[in-house]
Formats: sequence, C-alpha cells, structure tokens
Amino acid sequence: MKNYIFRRLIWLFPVMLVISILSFSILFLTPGDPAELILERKLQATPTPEQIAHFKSMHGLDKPIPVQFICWLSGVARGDMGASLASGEPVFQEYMKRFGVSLQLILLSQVIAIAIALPLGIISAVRANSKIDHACRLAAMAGVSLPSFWLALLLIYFFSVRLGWLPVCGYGGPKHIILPAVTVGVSGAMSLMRLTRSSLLEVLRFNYVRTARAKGLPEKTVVIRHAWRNAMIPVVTAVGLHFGHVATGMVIVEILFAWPGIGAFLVKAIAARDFPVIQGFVLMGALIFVLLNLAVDVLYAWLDPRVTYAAKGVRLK
Amino acid sequence: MFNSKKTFILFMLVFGLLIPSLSGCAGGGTKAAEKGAAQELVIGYGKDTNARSDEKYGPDFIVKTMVGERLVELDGEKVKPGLATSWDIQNGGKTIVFHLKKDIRFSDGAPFTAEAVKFTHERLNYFKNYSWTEVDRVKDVEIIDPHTIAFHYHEGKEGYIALTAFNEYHWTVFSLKSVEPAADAKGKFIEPLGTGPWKVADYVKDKHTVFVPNENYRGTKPKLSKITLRYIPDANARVMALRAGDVDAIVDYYHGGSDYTPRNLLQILKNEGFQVLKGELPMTTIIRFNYEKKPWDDVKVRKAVNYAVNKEEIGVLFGGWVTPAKEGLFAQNAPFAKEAQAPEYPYDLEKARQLLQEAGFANGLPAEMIINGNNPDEVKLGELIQGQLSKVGINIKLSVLEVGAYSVKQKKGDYDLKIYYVGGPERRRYTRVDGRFNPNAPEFSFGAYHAPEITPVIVKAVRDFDENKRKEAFKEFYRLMHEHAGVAPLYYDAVFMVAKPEVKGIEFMRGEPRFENMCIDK
Repeated sequence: MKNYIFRRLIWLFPVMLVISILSFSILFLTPGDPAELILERKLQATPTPEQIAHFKSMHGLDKPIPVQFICWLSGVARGDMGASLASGEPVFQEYMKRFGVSLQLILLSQVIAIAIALPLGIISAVRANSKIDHACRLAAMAGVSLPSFWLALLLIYFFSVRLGWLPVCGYGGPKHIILPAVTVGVSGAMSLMRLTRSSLLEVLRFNYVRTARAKGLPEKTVVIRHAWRNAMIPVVTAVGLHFGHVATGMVIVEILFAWPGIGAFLVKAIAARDFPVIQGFVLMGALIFVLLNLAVDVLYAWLDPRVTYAAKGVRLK
Repeated sequence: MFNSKKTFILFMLVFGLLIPSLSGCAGGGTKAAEKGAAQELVIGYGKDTNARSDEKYGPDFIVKTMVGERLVELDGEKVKPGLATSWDIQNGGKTIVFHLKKDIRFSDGAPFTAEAVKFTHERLNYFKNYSWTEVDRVKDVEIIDPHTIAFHYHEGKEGYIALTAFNEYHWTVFSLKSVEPAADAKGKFIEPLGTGPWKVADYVKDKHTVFVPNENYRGTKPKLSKITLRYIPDANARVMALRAGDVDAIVDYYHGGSDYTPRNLLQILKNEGFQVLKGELPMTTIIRFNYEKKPWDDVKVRKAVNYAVNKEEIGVLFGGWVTPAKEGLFAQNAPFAKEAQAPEYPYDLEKARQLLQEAGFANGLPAEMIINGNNPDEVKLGELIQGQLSKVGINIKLSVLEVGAYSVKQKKGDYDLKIYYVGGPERRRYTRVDGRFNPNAPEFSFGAYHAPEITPVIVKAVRDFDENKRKEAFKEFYRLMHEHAGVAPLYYDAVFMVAKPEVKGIEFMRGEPRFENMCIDK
C-alpha cells in the first residue's frame, strides 16, 4: 500500500505539468487581451495603447509565450505562483483565502448530500417498486434536472424573502451558509441517491445475501451489516469525484449567494484573462482532484479488505 | 456496517471539519445585530469597491466620491470650487493656477497641500492614466507655495476641457500616506485617505466596505453613523436582498452599463412600495456603425437605420424607466443640448426603405451586430433592434459574445454595428465628447464617430474658455452629427437607486447619489 501511494504521488508531477501546459495554451488561444480587459475594468474607461503597453511590460506579458510559461513554471518550482494581474496579490494567498471559504460550503453541502442520499437510496432499494421507491426516483429525476441557480432562487424567495428566516446572500454567520449548502447538497444528493439505490439493488441479489436471509437474519441486519458495505464502494467513488468537482468551484452558487469562494473568483479571473490566477487555480484544482482520487482508492482498501494495492496495481486477495 | 471504532473516527472527522464553519465566522450576524444603532444604512452594490486592494489604480468610483474630493466640481456648465477656492487662467490658457483651500485635513489628520495635488498628478502620469484625466496635456506642474499650484500645458493642448478634467474621478486627491512607501508615485495604494465626508472603517474584499463619517471633514456632517456597502454581484440576488430586508437600498454603478438593477424590475419594486430614484446622465446609448467600412460609410445607409429605429419601443422594453432619445443625439443635460435644440430622425419606415433603395440595398442588407453578453439589457436591446431593422430589409445577425471575444472583434473592426454609448457621467461631460469624436484624443481608440469637418468643431467646443463660443461650437457639432447621422441614438441613460420607504434624504447630484443627507426614518 505504501509503495502504491508513493507511486501515485510521484505521478502527480507529470500530470500537473501536462495540465499546466494545456491550460496555458488554451488561455493564450482564447480571444481577449488581459491588459486591455483588466485596465478597462479598473479605469472604467477604454485604455490607451500606451497604458496597455506599460501594463504588459510591468507584468512580463510582452515576452514570447514560451518564455512566459517557463518563467511561471520556474516560479511554481520555487513555491511562487506569481501575482494576480488585477489585484497584485500573490496567487497562492488569494487561493488560500478563498479555499477555506469554499471548503466550509463544500463540506456542509456534501454532508447534506450524503444525509439525504444514503437513507433514501437504501429505503428505495429495500422497498423497490413500492410507492416510496417511485416517489424517491421521481424526486431524484427532478433534482437532477433542476438547474442549481433556479433551485437557489426558489430557496431564496421562500426562506429569505417570504419567510425572512435566512439571509439572502453573503458570507458571515451560520445562517449564511444554510441556503448555499442546501442548494449544492440537494443537487448532488439526487444523483447519489440513484447510485446508492442501483448499487444496493445489485448487491442484494448476491448469493451471500440470499444465504444471510436463509439463515433467518432480520432484513435490517442483512442490509446494514452485510449488503450495505459492498454497495458503498461505487458510492464512495462518486462522492470522491463529486467532492472534486465541487471543490474546483461552485461558480453559480458562489456568485448568486455572494459567497467569496474559489469559483466566483475564478470566473472573474477568466473574464479578465488574469493568467497567473487561472493557471494557479487550475493547478491547485488538479492537485486536489488527484489527491482526492488517491484518498478514494485508499478508502477502498479500508472498506473492502479484499482489495489490496501492489506495485503493479490493484488485486483482490 | 463499519465496526464502531471506524464509525466513530469517521463521525469525528466530518463534524470536526464542520466546526469551523459553524463558529468563529467573521462578520455577519442578524440584520438587527449588524445595523446596531438606528442611523446605519446597508446598501447592496454590484462591484467590489477595491477600497484597499487595488494597489495601482486605487478604489472604485463610489469610494472616490464618498471619501475624497477634487480641485473643482462641474455643475452643468459651471466649474465650481472643490479643494481649490479659485483659479487663474494665464498665458492664453497654457497655465492654470489653482489657489487651494487652507485648513483642510485628510482623514488621517495630515494637512492638504499642493504637494498632495502634485503627487496625484505624478501617480496618474506614472500609470499613464490619461483617459478622461487629460494628464497627457500637462507639460509641467509647479508648486508655487503650499496652497498654490500651477499646471503648464503643452502647446495646443490647453483649454477648458483641461480645467473640467480636474473634477474627474481619478483626480480625487488622496493623502501622501495613501500609498506605501508614502509620497511615492509608484507606491502601492493601501488606504483611501481623503478629505471627503466619509472614511473607510473596514474593508473585506468581495464582502463589504464600511464607511463612517470623517471627523476631519469641514463640510456638513453626514446624518448617518455608518454605511455598509455590501458586495452582491448577482443583480437578482441584490433585488432579493432588498425585498428580504437584508439591505436598505441598492444602487447602480455610477457609470451606467453593467452592475445595475435590471430595468424591468424597477416597476415591480415601485409597486411593492420601494422608492425608485433616477439620476439622469448626459449619456446616450447608441448604435455605433463601423463607419470606416462599406456600406456604413454611406450616410444614406446610416440615416436609414436612424429612421428605422422605433425609440418608443425601447422605452417600453425598459418599462418606461429610460427616456427614448427623441431630442437629438445628446440628452438635454449634455453641454448646450437644450440651447441647440438638435433635431431627431423620426420613426419613418418608408423613408428608411427609400434611402436604402437609393443606396443600392433595395433587396436587403445583411449586417452583424456584436453584443456584450455580460450585459443583459444590451442583449434585449439588440434583439429589439434586430426585429425593428428587419422591417426595412436590414437583416441583423446578433453575435452575443463573451467579453474577451467581444473585445477582439471590436478591436479588429470585425463587425457592422454595436450597441455603444456617447457622453457619460456628469464629470466627463466634456472629456467624453472629446474622447468619442476627436480622433486625436488618447481615448479615441474606441470612439463613436469622426469626420474631417467635425474634428475642428469638437476641438473648439471643448477648448474655448468663453462660454458663448463653446455654445456656438457645440450647436455646430450637434448640427453636423445630425447631418452625418454618425450614430443612431436609442435612449438617454440614467442610474437608479432603489430604497426602502424609511430611507430619507436620498438625492442625486450630477448623476451620483449623495449620502450625506440620508437618514433612516423609523
């Protein structure tokens, strides 16, 4: 297992390098001059050619693209991701300031998603084709189809505007996190619920489950002690992937709820073509994704003792 | 299920990570707790103010007007004293000598002197911030004494416009300690220390800016004890925050354009009992032709578009909250527009078709209109114009573009028409005219229209210190613009503030909301 983890961590570096090259290339192929866009926003006026040239020379944007990339990469190797073209703040500092804010939302929303998805998914599977099952599947389909921004506006309208129970938006006390967390959580819960249901249904057909029933064990014990653990393996993968997607930016929710997280900041940076910020955030996002995948793989072995990781890959004992 | 030890560990991990989110969060709290004493106002604003975070260009306009002052202020055609009590125009306009007010202090207690004015100029110059500041016209700045400063202009660059430019937002004078190292024109901007009625008490990036009265301000003290400008980027969320009572008011970004309350929601809010206040701007939203390429270099084609646009429908599109541009290219509050009584092109489809026929487009004319996708009103307007122009055979292809792609197409001139604007905030009533119509102005890279016979008229209109000569030049400019049909005016723009009924004393001065007389009437 240790060798496996070590090998996966070594692979991190070439993966991040390839992602950096790709994102850098895409950035430069995208239309829009960062100097012009940033200056226009700052000055609230169209910048003159002199201002644009001055800005570019101050930030090294007048150098050839490969030179810019190598300068950036050598900075990253020294732990310096550069500074935002718009604010002048170090990119890593900007990221960490916002990561903590996004993390709160990510964690709570995932807890909500799991708290909704697992019980309903289990009930739906155990009572397959019953009224409860149909209701859960309908809710899942509705939830998956519902755009998150529409759900957010509905929640705001009912709980903030009509009932006045919760603030509309903003980052602050515990009440501020409820609506955005529920928006993200509910959206994620529905797909997770469907996966839980189908995974558990499959496991409930296995022979060992039939044996457990034949032995006279109560259904509750059969499901929770015997079937559920095996059914959770694909669900854990989905939660990990979902966590990664959410961790790299809940853009719409953050903008709508004025939540000063990574997603909202990244959107601003993309609109402004703030290259160092985009590169830095993409790199950090890739890092999180790779580490999360590794964590999920390690969790497999913990969940299912049959799974081991050897130097050449996975094998079942 | 998991054995009990693993379950316990998992449980503790999840909730242990959750604890920071449920306690110790900075700021926030209930509406009542945040507001505290009665005279505190919370305003929803669509931009982060950058009050302490933009190290080069300083804070947003709203901070500059709340916290700072400028040498002069423009009030229509009158240049009024600001931080300068008076000024002398010398040497045929090539020198302007400002006599500064004495006993004025910045919010940090430092005295206001000519050194701060010169520092402001040097900083604008270093960052080549020439747009609307007219700093490129200045040859030299001379401190005569601590309260007298002279600006010397390059030959041919002097004029009335140079004087009016001192009321520009970027000309807000801040203390030398606003930058680090202090008094360094290249220094990092750290704190907006101005002489205005407010000062910044707290700023959290992408969250809020808190203003309190500046105890060193020598004018009328504000009635409010605190104003919190809360950053809410989404327009619908801002409106919801107002309706939920999370904020007391929402205000447009001064400039018009994006970051404002959607016009179609204003009537709904008014019907719900909110105050909707309008600040007219000398700014006109227009169709800008790519007049340097065929067929838009043909005045008949441009006139045809002017005749084909139904401006009344534009007013209806925005719920009657904007004024259709039926009194000429410029709003009545633009320089001498009232006196000029410029004609308009009335809505006349037959005339439009006739002109297109004469121009050789009887069978139709395809055209591409680029739209900034970030601006929802521009998208709506583009769709309306598309429908209107199709009635005369001008078939518009709408390209709704992301801001970067829009910028590229605009720069390359790869379009036929675009939604644009002329004029601007009151502070720019002269500089914008020059910037949009004078091809020699540094801001003209995205001008509106120019022609050889119009350029000298513009130069005269903005430069002459004699008010009567300026008036005559502007009248001539408006007449020529009508003759050329250089652009197609659509509506006169405005900024809006929407507030709860108990917010009193709201006033717009020169298109900017003033907060000094505001209070909450419980």
